[in-house]
Amino acid sequence: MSGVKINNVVKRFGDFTALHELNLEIQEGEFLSLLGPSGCGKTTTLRLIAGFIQPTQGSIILGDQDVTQVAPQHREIGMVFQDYALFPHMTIADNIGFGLRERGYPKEQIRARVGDLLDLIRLAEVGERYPAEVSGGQQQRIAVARAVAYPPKVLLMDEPLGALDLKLRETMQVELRRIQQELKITTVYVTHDQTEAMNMSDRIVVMNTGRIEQIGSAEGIYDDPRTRFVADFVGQINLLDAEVTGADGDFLIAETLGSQVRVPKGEGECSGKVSIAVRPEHLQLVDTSSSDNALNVISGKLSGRTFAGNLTRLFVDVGAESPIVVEARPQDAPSEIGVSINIGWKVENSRVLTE
Amino acid sequence: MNTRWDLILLPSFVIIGILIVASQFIFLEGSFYKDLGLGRTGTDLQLTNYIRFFTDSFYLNTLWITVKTSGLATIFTLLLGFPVAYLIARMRSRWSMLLLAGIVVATFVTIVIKVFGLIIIFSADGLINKVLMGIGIVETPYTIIGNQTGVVVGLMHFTLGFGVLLLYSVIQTIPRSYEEAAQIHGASRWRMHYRVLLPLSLPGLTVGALMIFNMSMGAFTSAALLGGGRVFTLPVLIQRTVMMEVKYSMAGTLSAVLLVTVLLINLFSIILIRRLRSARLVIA
Repeated sequence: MSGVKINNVVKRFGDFTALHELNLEIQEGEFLSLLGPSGCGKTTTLRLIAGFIQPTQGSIILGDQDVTQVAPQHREIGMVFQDYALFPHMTIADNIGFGLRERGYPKEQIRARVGDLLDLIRLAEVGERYPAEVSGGQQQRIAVARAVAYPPKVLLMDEPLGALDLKLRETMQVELRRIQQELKITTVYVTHDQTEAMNMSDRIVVMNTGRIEQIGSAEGIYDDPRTRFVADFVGQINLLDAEVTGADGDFLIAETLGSQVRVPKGEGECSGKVSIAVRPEHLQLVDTSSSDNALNVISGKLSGRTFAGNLTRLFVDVGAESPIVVEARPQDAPSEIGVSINIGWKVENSRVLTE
Repeated sequence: MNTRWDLILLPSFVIIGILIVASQFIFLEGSFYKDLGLGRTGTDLQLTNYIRFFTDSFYLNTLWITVKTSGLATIFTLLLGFPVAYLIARMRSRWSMLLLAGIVVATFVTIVIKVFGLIIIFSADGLINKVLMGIGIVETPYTIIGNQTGVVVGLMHFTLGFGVLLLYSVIQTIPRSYEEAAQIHGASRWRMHYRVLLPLSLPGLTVGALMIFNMSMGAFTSAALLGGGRVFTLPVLIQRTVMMEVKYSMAGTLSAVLLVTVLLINLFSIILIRRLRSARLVIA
């Protein structure tokens, strides 16, 4: 087992640049997710680590070995594919033992290891069956067992839960995390599902158009998004166009939709046009229409509402392009569409974004 | 009562029946009359022609040459076609469609033209002999016209395009991720082919092999032109028996033997595949 280093990797397909100067270091034993929309370069990054494609420029280090020119079969990597890619003509035991057999392990040892792995994935009884004879969730676990059979330096997973239904997906997230922790295996996980990434990862890398937007823990990325893209992609967020008009100690004064608001200063200089980001759960309905030093308030009209069981989402038209989303307790939510309401948020719950 | 729309199919059934079944039947029936030569046949049904076929070493040898050249052509077509089909099936660029279109076009060019091309290339002062003699590999011109090698080459020329198209469609159905999964878990390219791609394409490969074999068994033009009147396969001999010797009943017998041989070989292969499949040696 070992860490992975991606040094200045550029990948071009013809005229299209899939990755721009990517630098990324994955720690030993870490569960790292690459998160982003389709076409952001996350799968390309994974396939570069696997060795299915070669970087146009830059290098990939596995442990302390430069593997940029090494063929996939010599990289000692395990991988779980989106469609699982279990060999349909082999039994489940043969599938799991595939990597061991290819690497010349004696039969007895393979049998013992396959038995252990079947126990690990809690499917001890299916070894002699064929992949088509077990359920999707079971195939998924078998694919994981095959990938970790020959203890790989790194485990790669390419949207492995995409084909499962929501309930099973949640169970499998816990299951995958358990297996990863038990084996203490370095894992790179590709997904476009932010909840999945947040549930399992030690760190998340948010990618967009071939670049890394932000690296951090789930909390770090959710609470402190650095760019509009990250704020928007991870969870729901309201972005308000604003203009910085001054500063007050650790805070910036900005004007948005005719109201003065205060936001904590971000890193670096900040002036001119910015976006102010507030999560729906940080917005509340307030009685007053005036701001104070701790609370920003803007007013608008209720334009719609949806009931989601534990909360009600209110859509408030404040004169911006898209309505502001507020998450309120169902009993607090006004029911009359068109009524004027004031929404406020604590200053420390908003962020200023420049990129 | 429902309108019997399926009655519309009846006329075409009748036409197909006359064209295919009836014409075959006439030959099969004719094969049971004694051949008196010059287009005359005996009046009572008997097995004379069949007895002659199975006791005359010339006829038996012809059957053997037909099966042998077809079998060899099938094997070499598959061996040659597989890498080409694999490459095209796994190509990501627009070239794959262009190459495929090229193969389709080349396949449907009449075999006469293609075989004449071969004859010119392999002629005594043709390109291949000039090169071979130029670099001193052979001293006298090497020819494939009038020998069995030539017939095999001709049959391959006839079936290769179909072979590539068939194998292409087989390989296309095998997800690329199987190959990647084999590779990333330690299999070299060769081992990946041996343990994953080959077993998974075996059912399709068998069907393709049978089709190529059947085409070769019935091929007349390439066998006749490259056999150069010296190598006889059954289709060549049948044509000769009808057109030159005017022995209709004997030709009928030859046709019947060819038909039954092809049917038996196909039947046997299918049973074999079934057996393998139920023993789970092949999954499809």
